[in-house]
Amino acid sequence: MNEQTVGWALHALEPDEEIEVLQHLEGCDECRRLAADVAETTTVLGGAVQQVEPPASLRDAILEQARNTPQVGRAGDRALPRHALRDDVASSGASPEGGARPSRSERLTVAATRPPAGPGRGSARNGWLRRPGRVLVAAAVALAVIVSGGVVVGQMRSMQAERDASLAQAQEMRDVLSAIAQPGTPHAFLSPGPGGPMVAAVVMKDGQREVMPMGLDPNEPADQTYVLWGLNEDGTPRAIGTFDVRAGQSGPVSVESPDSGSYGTYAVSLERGREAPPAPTKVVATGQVET
Amino acid sequence: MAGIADPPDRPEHGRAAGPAARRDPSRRDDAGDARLVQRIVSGDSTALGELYDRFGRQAYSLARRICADEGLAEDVVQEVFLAFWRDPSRFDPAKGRFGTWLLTLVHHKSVDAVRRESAIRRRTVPASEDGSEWNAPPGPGADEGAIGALVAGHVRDALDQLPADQRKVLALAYYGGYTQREVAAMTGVPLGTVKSRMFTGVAKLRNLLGPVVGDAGADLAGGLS
Repeated sequence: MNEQTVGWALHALEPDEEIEVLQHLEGCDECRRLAADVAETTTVLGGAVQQVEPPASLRDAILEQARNTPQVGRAGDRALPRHALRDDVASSGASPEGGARPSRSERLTVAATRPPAGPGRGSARNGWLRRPGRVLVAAAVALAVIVSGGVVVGQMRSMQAERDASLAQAQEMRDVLSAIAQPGTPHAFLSPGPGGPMVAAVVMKDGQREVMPMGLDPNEPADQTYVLWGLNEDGTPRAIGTFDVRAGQSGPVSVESPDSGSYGTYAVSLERGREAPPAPTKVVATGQVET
Repeated sequence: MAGIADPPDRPEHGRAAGPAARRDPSRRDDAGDARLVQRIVSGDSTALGELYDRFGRQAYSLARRICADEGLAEDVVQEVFLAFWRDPSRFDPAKGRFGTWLLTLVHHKSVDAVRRESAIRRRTVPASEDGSEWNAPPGPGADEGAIGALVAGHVRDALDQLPADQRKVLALAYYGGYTQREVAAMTGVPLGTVKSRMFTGVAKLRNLLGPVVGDAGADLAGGLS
């Protein structure tokens, strides 16, 4: 786990690996110390970059925003992160009080799809900023809490909590993540490609497949549908069922299907119409089944 | 730590030579940081300004280095400081220094930002092996305090002592924001090798940066050995 802990501290792991490390950190003092020490070392690297004076307006904007941002009181034993700051202040620009400085998402019209900029830099990276409830780390933190019974990891856990998690989102994920946390439960983390971010998770729960659409954009329910596909060893996709992702939705989606077969890989495609085609036309994410 | 943004009228602590000069300047006043944090817990927004004066430049510099975009870097810094303001209990003084916590958060947020950003950005790909990819300050003649320049020079020396393959994977991950799997794909090196190089590189850095990192990281050597 040491190598993984270093990777975690460098924020260089894949989402599913992050979850594993978080689970491990809950019960491993040695690795928690190691992660903290790596942070100390890399902070020195971070401080050694060429220093650039930030624009004066940034300080003013931060203080102005702070004056309009109520503080959360110190809680004694928070088992879960409370909110996603980006949802109400930093990125969405949706601070009800109105910030002094609009965020980038307000200043620019960002293209919905990011052109690939390297391995694993697929278009599905878009949307994380703008989609509360679709953030992996919320899942990771929730899972860690589920597995550990709420034991606080300390600084590492709180650092994870900083990253986009919210209490409400985490609670809504609890059921699915609880199932994933059970050893032997088949599940898959789906991403748009190797090295890409996890945009959905699939889990078998009570004999039924549920999809956690953490990074899938809402579809148009009138003329679009998402399709869950199962792939066997020969790679032939079989449509398992359809589902919708609605705006603002943050919980798991049950995929109604008589298909009880087991698959080695799941895929999700976005299709025109309301029925699954014979074969997927636009696969948005795939992932191998794990137990 | 290089170029820490002390208040302009604040005298430098420590000496210009010897081990003390190689200590992270942000540590010169951990107690002061703790007091600022406590004032923020109490709802004192002026303390946030003071904390920004102390760490804002460094936070912005790191964010800009990773994001390669000034606007994005501003967003990250704003997000980090406001997150802390909103819920200062996220930082636990018992777990480490505020500066470490803050810069780690800046790094993570910056990496998240470049990963989700839809526009193509220049990503840090260390093309050379002369250390220039780290963008360490060029020396005391730069816009750095004397101590900051010393620390940066020490860091640069440490990086120069790393084998090129370890330096490269660390640079891609830390400054480029790439995951280990992406680094493996970019470099053509097996994922397991990337992981071990990253691990070994951090361990060596820890040993080389001992005077800078200080005693708090003593466990790392054991954990990485």
